[in-house]
Amino acid sequence: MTYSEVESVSGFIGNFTVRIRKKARYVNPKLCNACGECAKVCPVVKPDEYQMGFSSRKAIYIPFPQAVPCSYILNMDDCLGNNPIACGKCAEVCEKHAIDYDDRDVIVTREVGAVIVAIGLDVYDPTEMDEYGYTRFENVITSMEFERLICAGGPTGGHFVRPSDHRRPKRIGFIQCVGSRNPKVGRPYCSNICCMNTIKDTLLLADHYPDTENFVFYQDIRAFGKSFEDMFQRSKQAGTRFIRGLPGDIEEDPRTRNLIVTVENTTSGRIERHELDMVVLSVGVVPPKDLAKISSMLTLSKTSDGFFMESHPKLKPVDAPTRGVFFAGFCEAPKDIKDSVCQAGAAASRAGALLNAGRIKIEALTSRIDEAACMKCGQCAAVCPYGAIQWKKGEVAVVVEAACAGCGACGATCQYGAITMRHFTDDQIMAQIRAILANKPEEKVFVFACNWCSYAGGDMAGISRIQYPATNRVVRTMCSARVAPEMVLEAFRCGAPVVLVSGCHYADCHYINANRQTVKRVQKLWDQLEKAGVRPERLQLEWISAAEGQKFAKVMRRMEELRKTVTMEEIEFTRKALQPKPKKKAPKKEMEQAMTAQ
Amino acid sequence: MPATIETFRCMMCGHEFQEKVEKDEDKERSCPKCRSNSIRHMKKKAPPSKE
Repeated sequence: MTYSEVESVSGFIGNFTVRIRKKARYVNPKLCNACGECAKVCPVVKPDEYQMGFSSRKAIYIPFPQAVPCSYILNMDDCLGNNPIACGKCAEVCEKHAIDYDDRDVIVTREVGAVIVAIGLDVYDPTEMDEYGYTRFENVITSMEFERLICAGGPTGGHFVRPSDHRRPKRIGFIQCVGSRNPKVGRPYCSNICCMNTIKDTLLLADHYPDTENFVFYQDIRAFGKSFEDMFQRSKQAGTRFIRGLPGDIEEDPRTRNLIVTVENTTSGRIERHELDMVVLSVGVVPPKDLAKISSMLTLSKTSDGFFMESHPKLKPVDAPTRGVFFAGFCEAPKDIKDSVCQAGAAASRAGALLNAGRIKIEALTSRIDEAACMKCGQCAAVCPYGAIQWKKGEVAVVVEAACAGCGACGATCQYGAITMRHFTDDQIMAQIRAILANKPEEKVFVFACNWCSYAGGDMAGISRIQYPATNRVVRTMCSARVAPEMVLEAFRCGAPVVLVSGCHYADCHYINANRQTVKRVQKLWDQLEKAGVRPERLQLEWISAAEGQKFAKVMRRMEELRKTVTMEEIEFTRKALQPKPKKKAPKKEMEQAMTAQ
Repeated sequence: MPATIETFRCMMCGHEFQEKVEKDEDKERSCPKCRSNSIRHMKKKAPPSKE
């Protein structure tokens, strides 16, 4: 389905409903034979987006040469012929009568079992990096613009010329890592493809124009793929000069329009100035602009780089945290064509295996709602990171077990005890707390640790034989979001001198973003403790990953130091100050309804 | 909505610091001094009402 956009996705694994907007083309693709007569008579001239603005298009055009189906579309934002018809020239010359000004967008609904997200990437806009003069100097172009200029199907028919005077440049500089590996512009990651793209460009130039001098300004050349090192060496043999150092400044000679590049060559330690005819900024890649929209539709999470986070970086690299959703290509992380093709194949296989099986196995760690106890408040549905709880105002919430991943955020949120997390029930966790703190609680550091990261971090500390005080007692939950405020308070009531809640780092949360609920709860608990006259410092929060055995040990040492500062008087005072309040009563209206039903 | 400067307090070492907070930001915080994640957002108290 081309020229279409996904409007919304609802449902869960095996039962997704996708709403698609099929945009109006105003040209019937079944009738259009792409003769091009319409474009010839169209009076509207606009910059051609596909050619990066180096050439123009008409209001009726084929978006790019390989477009499928190969038929024209009419851009109504540009066309003069819309309501009332002021032009209509394209319709007059179209012998096939393919042009339909009354065409409208159509909403199509599809039922699907799995979704593969392959929304691609956007290219970094170097406008903000003023030192390279992209907006000031005509002969500073981006690597994407370079591609169009050297392409046989490009605006110059493959004759490589510089924009200012249409002369062929003889000395060309490539600046690497523009918008990549640069925390100053908020892009600390490597874009993965730019080094090899530049090397390919230098080889292309050496092949087309052997008299061209190429300079590549870089911080590191990352040529780690198959045959990539060979390409790098061939580029050097072809005469490309690789200079280790990124230019600090570019100036233009107003007479010749040549560019003067000042760079510190970090290999020789000298400041160099190079006069070049043209500079190509090897721009990095950025997450696509629609990523946030897709993310909210499919309840996906993002890494700190802004790309989609996979279910597990090593064991499930193409699976999204939401079951039945898979990733292919750049939207998950920067990668080259080969890796994108591999990932697409893997995603298709995973989706195929899911659909062919016809049924799925889920872990028994799901939540269950007690309909009688549910107060229809909908708070559980609001905190579920997977959208696995269906709730409508005035109705009992329902858990879609196929979509529930078992984080327990809902169970910790429900104030009415209506949600039971299988295998991690409130009663089970409370019993653990009371048992642990039954004897000499004042000598213990009480810890809630999430299953995937913090608990595994403790394992790592043990495996690595890292020494830390043996006073800690750990209660494992699947996610730190399972830790209800009442559990922390109960630990203090049982005499715990200090309590630690620990979970995954933000970017590592195994339940999309459930650990943000932990932050909110701990913030409230600090306020509550302070209000009750208890030192809030006695409650601590830490993010510890499975690889951070050292951090786990360090945190335990700190907690032990903190424990030693807590006196018996403080513990006794806390027991009294945090006495439980009477259970929250159901709202009056609900009670009346329940009574009537009985 | 513009970013605001908010005060945070490290519950481990007591260090207080200020950071820019943007609306709907999703940022993991740690103490610049001791690297602890026990960062309490010190929300500004509403000014007393004039009666």
